Amino acid sequence: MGTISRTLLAALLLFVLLGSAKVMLEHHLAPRTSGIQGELSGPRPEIVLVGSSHTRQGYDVAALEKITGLRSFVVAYDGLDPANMVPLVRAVLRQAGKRPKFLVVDAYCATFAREPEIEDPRLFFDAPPEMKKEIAEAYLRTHKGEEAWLDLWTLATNKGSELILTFPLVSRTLNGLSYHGGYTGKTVSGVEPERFAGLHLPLSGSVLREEQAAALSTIRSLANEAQVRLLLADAPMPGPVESQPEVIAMQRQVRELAGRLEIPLFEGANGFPVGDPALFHDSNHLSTAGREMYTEQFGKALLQLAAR
Amino acid sequence: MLFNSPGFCVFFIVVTLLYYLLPWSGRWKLLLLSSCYFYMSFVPAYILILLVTIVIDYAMAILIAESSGARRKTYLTISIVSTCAVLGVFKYYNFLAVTSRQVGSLFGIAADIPLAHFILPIGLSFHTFQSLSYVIEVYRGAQKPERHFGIYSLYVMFYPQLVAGPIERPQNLLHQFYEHHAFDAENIIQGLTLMAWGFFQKMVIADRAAQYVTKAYGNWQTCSGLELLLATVLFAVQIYADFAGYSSIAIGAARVMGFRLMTNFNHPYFATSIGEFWRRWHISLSTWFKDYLYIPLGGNRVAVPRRYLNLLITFTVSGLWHGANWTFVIWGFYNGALLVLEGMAAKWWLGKGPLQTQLRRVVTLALILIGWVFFRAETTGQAFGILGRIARSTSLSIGSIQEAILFATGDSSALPAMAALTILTGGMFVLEGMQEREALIFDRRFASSTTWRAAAAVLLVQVVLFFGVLRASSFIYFQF
Repeated sequence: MGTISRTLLAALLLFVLLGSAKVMLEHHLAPRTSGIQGELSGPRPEIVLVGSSHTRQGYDVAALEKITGLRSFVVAYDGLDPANMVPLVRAVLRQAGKRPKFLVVDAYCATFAREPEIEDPRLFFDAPPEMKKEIAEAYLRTHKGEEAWLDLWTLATNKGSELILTFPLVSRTLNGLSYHGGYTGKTVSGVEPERFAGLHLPLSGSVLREEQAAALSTIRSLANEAQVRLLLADAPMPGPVESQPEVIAMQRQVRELAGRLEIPLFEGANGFPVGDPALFHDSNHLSTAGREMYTEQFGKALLQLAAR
Repeated sequence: MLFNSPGFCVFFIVVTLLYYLLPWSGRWKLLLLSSCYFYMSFVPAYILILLVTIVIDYAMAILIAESSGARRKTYLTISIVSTCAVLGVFKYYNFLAVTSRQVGSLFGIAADIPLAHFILPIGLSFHTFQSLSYVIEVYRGAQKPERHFGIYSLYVMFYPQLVAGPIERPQNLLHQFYEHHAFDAENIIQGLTLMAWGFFQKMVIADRAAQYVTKAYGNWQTCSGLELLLATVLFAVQIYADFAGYSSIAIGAARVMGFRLMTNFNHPYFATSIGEFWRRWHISLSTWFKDYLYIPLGGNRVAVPRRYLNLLITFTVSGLWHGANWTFVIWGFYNGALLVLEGMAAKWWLGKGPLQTQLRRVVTLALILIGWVFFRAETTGQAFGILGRIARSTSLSIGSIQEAILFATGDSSALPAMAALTILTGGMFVLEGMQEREALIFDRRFASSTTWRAAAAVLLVQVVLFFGVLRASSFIYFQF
């Protein structure tokens, strides 16, 4: 019996020790060319774009820098919603000397329609301990019960371990896969024309979630305090998705919210050839060709805004 | 209740504690009740099907033992037919209906055979085979009939091996239910170490590999040849780690309570011939088919052409046992055909030089990989399509390798995930390779030291918790 209890105790102690070390130190291994660590560790960017994969795949960062002449950085995590952007924005705006001129927040309507969720565990992995604490607290405010604790426990101890194990092998290649948070050297193909008409974006609902609206309000306050110009931007989606009634309803509510909060909103679909399958990879991501076209459109609009 | 679910952890701890707290006379009742609960956690009503099989085989075995002459055979036939009928209805009815429709349409006959809409009872093929094995052994006189209905039910339903084996023989398992298993720390540590190894194989290796395989096989028409080749290699890893992992957990869980179940896997990917592979893979099923189908068909004691036919029949039936789909039939036939070819080419193929041994190992693995495409594909058309794409459009340029790796998630997170899977899978096979050579220092340490075994268990638990896919996913063989 003694051997068994000693074994169980040893397993538990080792787990607590390794788990704590992971939570406290893992952000040091995060990529330096993407994510929040990429933004925090590099020189001051003048444009910071925060959002989901919709944002990551929406902008050609090198082209944007060329058009605007401003150093840019995309901080994007899959499925990132406004509620989970708050700690990121706080971290970006925290250091007085490193604040950007423009903060561009993803206005992707799908994330405004659902309850706050951490879809991409890299968000937690990349976050320094104090930001982790903030993310966890926010998660526990919107998720209740043992499931929520189990999710956080998994996030803290289990997610991202593969990067820790393989860091010496992959870190160089991993950093090479991104330029200032955006893709580099990766060609994203357009959707097959026969599939285009059937593209559909599933939404969790067609009503703006209060938590997401409140989060956007918080982001506006943070930007105002830091004297950073805030802009909402939504990369275009394929014609069949842009004409989905629930997408139209959500976009209208996001537009109204932006109006109420007095945040300029750039709607990428306006004037964009949304009927061309070659410009879209799937229901909510642009292809390489689409990304180049949209970046040019967005860059010019940003220059106009900067001139005002 | 999946082995890799939090519910099973609680169940296992409670049952094990009660097992050792109860007096010996009450233990079989606890095991039977907990096995019923375990089985009913899937689809409760299906326990009635299991009960029907148990009652028939229990009664027939006693009748066989108590009668003589032709009656014995009649009782055996009743048992086999009724047990196989249950299997036939639930597992093969729809397959036969669809096939009949297709054959009918070839001849212009509209055979409107209705399809049944029930879920296949979990582990049906396993417990029916275990039940059949008992009746056949009683008929052969190698096993006395079990007169204690509870103990016999427990033999069929013993929860660690109820849903996916190992398919035990009565001679190995039945008597163990009468033995007094005292609390033994050695057994418990051994069992827990085996379970930890099984969880490592399932949750760290198989479930990680499954993510790539599922995506590639689900979108095979848009995948490159290299992506499909990588997916097939990963499926070979997945199915082995999934099923061997399940078996280790089952054997370990039984060992914790003092029971010894048969070994089900013996490093099959180290085999140097197809024949050897099948002596190392799913041993409890391979030996079942050998004992109850291949040998009764004549086995090796018949003329060579007949022997080859026996092999083809045995392996095709084995394929069909796995699933009611032509992909499994082809997979079984393919393996039987490989064994026939191996038999025909034995003189020059089975030489013993070290270089030839390594070459045979590589060729065997490649041939097995081709078979796995049929095993994993949902239709024969898909299987041939995948093989065609692998043959036609596999490029090994740096760009296509990078694309193939990033395919898993579509972004950079796929890179460390694939690298970690490679390292962990490599680690698993290196350990197995060392065991294979009997050079593993741990093995010798393990033989003499409980501390070493406990340390290994502690380490494995950490690996599972930090690297495992914690969302409980079903085992591949549960569907059979």
